[in-house]
Amino acid sequence: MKRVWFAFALMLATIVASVLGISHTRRITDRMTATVTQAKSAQEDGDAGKALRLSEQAAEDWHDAHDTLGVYMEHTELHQIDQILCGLPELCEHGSEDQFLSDCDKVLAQFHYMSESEIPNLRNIF
Amino acid sequence: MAISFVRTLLLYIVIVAAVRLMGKRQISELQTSELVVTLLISNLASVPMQDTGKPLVGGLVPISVLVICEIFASGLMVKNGFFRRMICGRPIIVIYNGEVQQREMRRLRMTTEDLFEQLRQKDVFSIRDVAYAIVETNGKLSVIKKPDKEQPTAGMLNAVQPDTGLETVVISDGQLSDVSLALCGKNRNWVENVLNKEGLLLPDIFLMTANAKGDYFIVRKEGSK
Repeated sequence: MKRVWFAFALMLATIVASVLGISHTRRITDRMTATVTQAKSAQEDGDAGKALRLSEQAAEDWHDAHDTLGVYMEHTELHQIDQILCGLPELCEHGSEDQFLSDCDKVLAQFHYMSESEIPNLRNIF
Repeated sequence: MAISFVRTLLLYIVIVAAVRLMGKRQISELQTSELVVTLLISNLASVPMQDTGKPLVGGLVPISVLVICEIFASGLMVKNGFFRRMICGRPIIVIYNGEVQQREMRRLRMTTEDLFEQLRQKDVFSIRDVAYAIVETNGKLSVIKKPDKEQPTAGMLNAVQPDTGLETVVISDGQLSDVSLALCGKNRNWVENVLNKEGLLLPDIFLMTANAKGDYFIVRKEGSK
C-alpha cells in the first residue's frame, strides 16, 4: 500500500514538474519573443540605438533563463538560440541590417518552435 | 567525461531505487508488463548516460512514469482478475489428464521440443509420467505427475521428522543479527551461552546458524584461535 501512495506522490510530482516546465517555457519564450520583436521593429524603424539595447537585453535575459531551460530541454536546441542571440548586438552595431532582421526572424521561429514543442498536443505526441 | 560519470552514478541510483520500488522478482519470473518495463527502463537510462546533450530529466521522467504505471498496474491486477488476465494472460494446460493438448500448444506456439525441454528441467524424463502440465503466466511450466509416478513423501512413509523451525544465520562475519535470532525464537543470552560453551568469541565466528529446536552450526573465521 505504501508503494501505491509513493506512486501517487511520484505521479503528482511528475505532473506538477511537467506543467511547470510548460508554463516556464511559455513565459520565457513569450518574454524573449516580445524583446526580439521590439528589437526587430526598432531596427526596421531606423532606431539602431534602441535595437542594440533591446538585442543586448535579449541576450542577457536568455543567459539568465538558459540554466533552468537546460534542465529539461535539448542542450543543442538551446545552444543554437544562444549563438544567434549572442551575435545580434554585434550585427546591430557593425553588421548589415538585413542580416540582423534575418537572424531576428530565425530566433523568433526557434522560440515559437520551442514553446510549441513543449505542449502535449496530438501533433507533438504522435 | 565527468558529466557522463556523474550521470551514470545518478541513473544507477535511480534505476536501483526504481527496481526496488517495483518489488522483488527474479528475472525469469517477470510477468509480461514487468519485462516490458524493465527493458524500457534500461533503454531509457542509457540515452542520457551517453548523450550529454540530452537533459537528464528527459530520462528520469519516463522512468518515473513507467514505475508509476507498473505499481498501479500491479495494484490493479491484485484487485481485478479481468485486468490481470488482460495484462498477464492465464495459465494454459498443455497436458490434461495425461493427454497432450495440441490445440493449446499451437496457441502458445510451443513445439514438442519446448515441452520436453521444460519437462526435463522439472526432472521429468517421460511424458507418460505426467498427469497435468500447465504453462504459467510467466512462461514457466508446472508439472503434476501421475499418482503412481510421484515420489513418496515422508508422510506417506510414516517417517515424518519433528519440525525444527526455520534455520537462520544468527552470526555472519562476527555480526550478530537480532532479526534472525527473533526468527528462530532465540536471544542474545542463548548465543552467549553457546559461545561460552564452545570457548569462542563473537569476532571469531564467520558463520553461525541456529533453529528453534536449539540446534546450531558454527564456522570459525580462518586464522582465529
